[in-house]
Amino acid sequence: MTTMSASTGAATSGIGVLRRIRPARIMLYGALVVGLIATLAPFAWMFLGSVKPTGEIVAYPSSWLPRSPTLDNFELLLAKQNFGLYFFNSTLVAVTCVMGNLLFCSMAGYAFAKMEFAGKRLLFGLVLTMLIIPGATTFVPLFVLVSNMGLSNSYLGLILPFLVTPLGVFLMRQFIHDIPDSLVEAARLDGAGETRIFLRVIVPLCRPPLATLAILTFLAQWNNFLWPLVIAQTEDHYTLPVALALFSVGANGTNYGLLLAGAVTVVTPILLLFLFLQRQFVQGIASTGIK
Amino acid sequence: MLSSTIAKSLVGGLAVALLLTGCGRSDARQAQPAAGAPIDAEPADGTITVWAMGTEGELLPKLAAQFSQANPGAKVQVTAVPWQDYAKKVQTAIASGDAPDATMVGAVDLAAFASTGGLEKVPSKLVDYGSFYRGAVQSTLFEGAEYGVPWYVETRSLFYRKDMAKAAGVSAPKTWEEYGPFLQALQKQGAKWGLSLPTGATATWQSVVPFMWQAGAQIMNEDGTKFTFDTPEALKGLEFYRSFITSKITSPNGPVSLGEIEPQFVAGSTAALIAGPWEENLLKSAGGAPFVDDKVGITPLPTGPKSNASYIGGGQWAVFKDAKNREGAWKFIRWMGGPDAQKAWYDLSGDLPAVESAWNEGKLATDATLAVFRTQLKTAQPGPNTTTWRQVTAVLDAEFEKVAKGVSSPQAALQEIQKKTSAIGTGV
Repeated sequence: MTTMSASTGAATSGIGVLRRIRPARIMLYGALVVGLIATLAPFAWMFLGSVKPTGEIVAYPSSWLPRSPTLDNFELLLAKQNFGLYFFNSTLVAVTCVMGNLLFCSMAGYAFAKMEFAGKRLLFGLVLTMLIIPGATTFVPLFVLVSNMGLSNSYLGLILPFLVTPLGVFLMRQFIHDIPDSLVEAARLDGAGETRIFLRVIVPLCRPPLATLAILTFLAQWNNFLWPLVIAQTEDHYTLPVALALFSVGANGTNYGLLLAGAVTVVTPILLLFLFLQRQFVQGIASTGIK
Repeated sequence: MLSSTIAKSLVGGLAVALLLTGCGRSDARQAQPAAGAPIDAEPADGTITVWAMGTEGELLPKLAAQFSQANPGAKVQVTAVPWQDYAKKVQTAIASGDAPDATMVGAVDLAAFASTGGLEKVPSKLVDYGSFYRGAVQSTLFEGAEYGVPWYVETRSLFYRKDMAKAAGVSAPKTWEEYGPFLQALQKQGAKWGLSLPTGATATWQSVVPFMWQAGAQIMNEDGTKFTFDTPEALKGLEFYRSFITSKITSPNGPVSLGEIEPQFVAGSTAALIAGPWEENLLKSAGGAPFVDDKVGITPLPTGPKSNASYIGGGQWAVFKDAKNREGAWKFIRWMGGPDAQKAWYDLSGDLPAVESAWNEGKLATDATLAVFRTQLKTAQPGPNTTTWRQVTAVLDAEFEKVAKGVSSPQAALQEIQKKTSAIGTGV
């Protein structure tokens, strides 16, 4: 009897789950699966393509799975002179920019959100203005400026213009703005100085936007092509995207195998970074209203 | 969402930013002497910094080593620059004065760089311009003066499926009259399309304008002040282009990206295409070496009412006004323009020499495929070297697309082209 009721109980709850899943859920999951496939397909194509011989990549009709998998493309890529150096350059530039942005943007964001000083609104307006002006219009003047400072063909020239970004300041200001003033005031009453408040109260609360900022900055710098192309006057200051364009994109044709292998090499670190930071990333975007 | 405070700040910020940046623009073009100061015959010395693009940049140090042997006092420092966005790099270099001594320039870009006033005119008597292919020399000219020295050239000829032609019992076409029937014979061998032509993708003009040249058209007047697309010859050329599409020899949806057509050519669904010397390698990687040996034929473009003119492209060398080692740079360029260095560069890179006499020995003299390009180069010509040419090509590509898709008649398209290009002008 007891076994009987237990089994019927299980059966009804099973049906209940099915019933709850059925109508809207199936549609939702269906849509999500379609989205997932659309998102993952290019990555799959890239990874699979990187282990195909060039003839097979452009073959018509094409196929997803490599018929004769090969690591030739990667060998060719690694055989290129200085590939390790380009990887190092990219990492150095991206990591330094991330650290600079995390530190300076959160400090500026704190000042704009929680401190009162003359010209605050005007200064913040200037920051927003920089967000609006397209980078292409300031590109040449920026180059002339950096070049006049004697920084062309140097790591500093690669890094300095992106050490603080207006987007980062805006992002941090918006998040810190929503932290209750009472928290900051309580810390002040307890005798904490601004540095202490910033480090002990604000920063620990800012982990989501900081993670977002870290990813955005890393992505922007890791993928940056035009600035490194122009500022690096010799190959030893090239970053990965520049080197990759040099190797694979010719005047009259593209070496797709090499390009895909290079893309895999460039993208993998980003994917790993995102996997580590994704929870904070999603939270950061949701709570600062930046999409 | 932006709050109203933010909106207000934004307005204030914008106003201040506009004030701070101010406005003002100086005319970049400066008066120049007719030619650069002459260069002596002494060996070069000092460090010479140069930019070269893509594969050329990767291989140039090997050629430069040979130069250093002849000029022990000179050291050439090569930076390999990607083709992608290289024009931006050259332009920022010109704008800031933070430039190397010399740079390689793609043939189509010379006018744009020269017009900024950032390049030096080629010193008088530096090289013998008569030794280069005429088309290559034409592409170094801007407003009547030479700004570049030709280095290598490329031109386009007709690639076709030799095996299909053999099976159909036809031989390569020599004239416009034989063109269509030849391609249709290949179609009967199972090819869906006889000839691949671009139908609106970027640089479609490079395939269509040669038809006009072949019909005898000059698309710009003698003194370079006016585009002349409203001629019967230009019309004849454009009608000939359209005839391939109306007779279903050419797909109205031509290739839009590089590397798209090769697999179809290998599969046999497209029987012919027009391409340059690089095509052989692309076909090798798409179909293998035996495919190229057994099934690919190449022949000069069939001759129209006037000629079989093709498009010429390639690379040339220019020296920046802000060069630190101007003498050394010109000496290096002079050396690279000599027949021996030209031949050595062909051996290193496979780039076709711009100097005609470099073709007289070795593989360049004997290879059958190269012989086709050699013939083609004699009459090949570049697009007009005006600063406005890039704008004009955008108009051409768009109008040619309308013709290809049957939206516009050749007459109407040429009228539209003439109207728009007259408005754009030649920049003079």
